Amino acid sequence: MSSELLPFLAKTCALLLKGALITVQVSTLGIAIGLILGTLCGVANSNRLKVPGLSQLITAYVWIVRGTPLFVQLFIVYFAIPEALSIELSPLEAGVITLGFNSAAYLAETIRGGINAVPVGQWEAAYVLGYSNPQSFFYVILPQGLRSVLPAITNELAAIIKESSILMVIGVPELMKLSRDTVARELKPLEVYAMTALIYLVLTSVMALWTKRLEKRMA
Amino acid sequence: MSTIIVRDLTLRYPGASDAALNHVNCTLDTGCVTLFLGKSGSGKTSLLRCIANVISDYAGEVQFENVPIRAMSRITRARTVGFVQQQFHLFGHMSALSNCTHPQIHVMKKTQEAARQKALTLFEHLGISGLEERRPHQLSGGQQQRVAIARALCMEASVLLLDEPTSALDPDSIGSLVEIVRVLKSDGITLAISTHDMRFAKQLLDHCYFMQGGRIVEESRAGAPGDVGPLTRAFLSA
Repeated sequence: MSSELLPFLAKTCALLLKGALITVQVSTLGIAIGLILGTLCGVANSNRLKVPGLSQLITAYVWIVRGTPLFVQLFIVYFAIPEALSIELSPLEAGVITLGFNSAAYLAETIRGGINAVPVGQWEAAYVLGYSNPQSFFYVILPQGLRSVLPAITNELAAIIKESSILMVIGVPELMKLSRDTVARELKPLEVYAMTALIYLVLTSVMALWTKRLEKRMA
Repeated sequence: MSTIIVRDLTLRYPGASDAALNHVNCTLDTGCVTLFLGKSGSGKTSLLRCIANVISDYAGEVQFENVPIRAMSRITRARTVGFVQQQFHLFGHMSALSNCTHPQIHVMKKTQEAARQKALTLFEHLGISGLEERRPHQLSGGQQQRVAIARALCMEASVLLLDEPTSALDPDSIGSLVEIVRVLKSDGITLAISTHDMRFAKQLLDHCYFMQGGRIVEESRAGAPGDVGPLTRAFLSA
């Protein structure tokens, strides 16, 4: 039994790592979209930089995304929007867009909170020292705002990696889909899903280690 | 000679029924220490914030050598008036030294080396050498205050406003602050200090205004007995 198990595990591991590579790719792209869009929305919705009109739009976007399941959002992006707009989206594109826009909504709220938490006195100190408004924001406010919410951002980034497993339902060949296919073929759920869980754990741990180092650098 | 002239300054905060400042007229004499005394809520901080142009939607005029501070460019204003707020507001993500070099480099466009030299000179002058690499949270209240003063002076401000500078200090640090104020005065810096700390005020009594309900109700110039008005005398002896 054990003489069969080791080659099976080696073969399955190699296969799952291919899936993990796709998971890393979609997560990285989702994180990139989430961070960029989330930061822009968070900034544009913060107390001192609120843009009338745009702020209400952002609030509505955050409300809708946070109030509906990721699963439904994925189906809307993959099935409904392409049909309504007569465009085509590959499963990978739809997956990345869904993950990115979903995490952006959560990150927007986190970053908005971080920026609002920077004392008004910091703006005033920068103003008195002659900084322009953009200089005040980028040199003084944003670094401090992000620093205070870095642990929350870390959680969100780790969540994207885990949530990317939902993309299997539209056929993205990521880690979870490959492991489910392997189980269906080999009928060894314990070995395969345990290995899958271990790979996810490694991915999220690497992310956690990286962000811990970033937190230390920014402390 | 007066460096700063405040004319008929009136300030009303949105939604407030009473004016925070009510037709205030005062001057900051060149190279002198001007104190603004009074109880909390008398308008001292609001007045300093108007002079520093942190608040600019007031009625009246604040002039530096006959130029309205409101009309100055941000860089000229920064080189004219330095303002150390009650909570100091050092930039928490920067070292003490960077707090002083960063605005010089990014606002005054100085080279890194020139900014560093200027900051180090001021650190030595203010007795905080050795604290350059510390972050604000690693400094005591008195040390933070000196870094904040150094940061303001790095911009070569000729007027320095200190808002309630003793509020976060222990008695030893208050003594050191008095010394620093005297050193700055001898350097030719025009100082305006708001305080309700009578022991601190007594040691620096030179030219002072007593404020009440957003108005200046008494002006005193120390020197000869009788020069200090009754309200100021009562405040100082309380």
